[in-house]
Amino acid sequence: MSAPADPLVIAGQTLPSRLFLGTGGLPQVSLVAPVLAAAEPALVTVSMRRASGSGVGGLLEQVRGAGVRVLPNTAGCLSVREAVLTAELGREALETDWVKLEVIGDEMSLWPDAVGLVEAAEQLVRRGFTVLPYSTDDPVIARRLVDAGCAAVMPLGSPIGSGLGVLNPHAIESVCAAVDVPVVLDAGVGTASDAALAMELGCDAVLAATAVTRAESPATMARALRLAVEAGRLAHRAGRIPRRAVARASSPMTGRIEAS
Amino acid sequence: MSLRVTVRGAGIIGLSVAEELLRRGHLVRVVDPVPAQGASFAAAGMLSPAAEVWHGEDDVLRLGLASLALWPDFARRLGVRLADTGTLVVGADAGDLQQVGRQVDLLARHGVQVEEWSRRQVVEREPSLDRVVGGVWVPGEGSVDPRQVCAALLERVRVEPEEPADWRADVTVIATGAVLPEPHRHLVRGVRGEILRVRTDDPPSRTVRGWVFGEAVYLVPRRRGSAGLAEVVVGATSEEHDDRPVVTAGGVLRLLAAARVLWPALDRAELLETTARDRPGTLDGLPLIGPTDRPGEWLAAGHYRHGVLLAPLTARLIAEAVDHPYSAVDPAVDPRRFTPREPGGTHALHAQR
Repeated sequence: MSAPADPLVIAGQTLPSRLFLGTGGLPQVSLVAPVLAAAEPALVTVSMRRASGSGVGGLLEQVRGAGVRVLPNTAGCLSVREAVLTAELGREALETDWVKLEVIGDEMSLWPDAVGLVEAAEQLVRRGFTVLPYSTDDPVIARRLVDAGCAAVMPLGSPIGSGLGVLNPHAIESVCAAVDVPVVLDAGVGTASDAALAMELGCDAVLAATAVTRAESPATMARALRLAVEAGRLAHRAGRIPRRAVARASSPMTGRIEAS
Repeated sequence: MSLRVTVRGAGIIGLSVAEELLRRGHLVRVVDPVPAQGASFAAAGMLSPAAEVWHGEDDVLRLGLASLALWPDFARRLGVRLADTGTLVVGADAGDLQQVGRQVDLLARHGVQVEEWSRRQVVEREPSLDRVVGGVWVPGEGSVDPRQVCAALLERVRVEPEEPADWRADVTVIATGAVLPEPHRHLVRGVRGEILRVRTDDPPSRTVRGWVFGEAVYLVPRRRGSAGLAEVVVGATSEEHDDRPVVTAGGVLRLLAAARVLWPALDRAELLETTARDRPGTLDGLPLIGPTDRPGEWLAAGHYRHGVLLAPLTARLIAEAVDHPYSAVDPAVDPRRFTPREPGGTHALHAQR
């Protein structure tokens, strides 16, 4: 029996899956097509610095050739002003109002600047953008971002590129409970179980980039993540059993056949 | 049989091809309004096929090792210095060392011998690298100065700014790097690389490839005799872009910051030069060497990060194919691998429009 239809909807748009992908760090552009085929992503994030414009035979052309939705991001922006300008650049170059908003507060940890993020989100929403902000795993900040008009929130599991997974599961659960927009776990995914855990905690989608691009076989990891996201989502919906301190026999004791 | 060959492009690839064809007795005209000013001008000149390889790049390693074996004779013939002290691959922290370890596993699978060095062994042998946590040494690799190589080739090969009107070539070899003429233009894109040259009295003695908090950086030392000072090349950034390749402040900053973690003496070095050029990138990261679908029109281009290393092999492959026109082309480098086959048949690497 197949699960009932369970699409991810952001800003009124139905997305084809619950895995977001960043492909910028792939060692060869020719890997883009097999990775996308294996991941079946809802969309691919594109850094406006890496993929400026049309670059013949480049990354963007490959993603578009595969018919996958492109989400420009403001990766590496260190100020509100820089992020807003980069978002405008992305809107013009990629002809989409959607933007994954990053405002980085510290270059070493690439930690989001929560205050700058709220301010940038307010400005971009006023300018007509659909904003998906990369944020800390803080339910209060998540609510502020929704108040600012964000269409989703994207809390980090752990620092970008660290592969440390979901370091504070309770915080991610709290974010999911705090907001009524989709929650996309962003950053920190290192392998399939990290993605599955995020989905079990209640996230609506997972974004992975380095986990795929720097894997020894990127297409294999892409498929593993797709399956993990689907498994985690199903487990979340299935209603897990309570955790108990003592054993409880898996078969009932009554009605058993007596060996006389 | 002696043929008339035009080589378009006088970078290290075009010049090496021309030199080999001239040696074999062909009539060669090389055309380039600005010789040796493209990617060859920026290149660090590492001859390190193993230290540079990554998963999924088996063909790059195979071609690189084959070309590395040709370099000693090539360098001797040209009278250029070849440093053969191997490549040291190091990490700045434990995460970086894991990254080095992944590369060691990969090389072991390919049967490439490396020596693992503890932090102490690294510092004993390379005292200027006293911040690294460990590494591996890949013997047998080395480096050349691509500018010296191009200068030596230009002494042997005459370059003209444009093709003479009365010249009719049997074969034209297009070696224009990142910018190919139509209908080949879509096969190569420019991938910007920024690179620095500094002068120092405390250089590492070998090529160093390092991981610094997840960023890759390399140092290529060149002995320059006078007053014991050496030039060190620090590279390189990599960026997909559509614009003219310019040096950005952020690119220089990232290179300096990463290199300084490995090599603190960088602080006192004189900054000689910052350079940006487009690497000729293909879809699969492999070069285009051989005939195209147009009769008499050949490619020797798209060498991406490997132009200097692959120059003598490219020259030999082109010259062999000119001498034996019906010989098989290595499918890994055959420019026709990107040509769509028959209608309906899809080619995995066919560029979209």
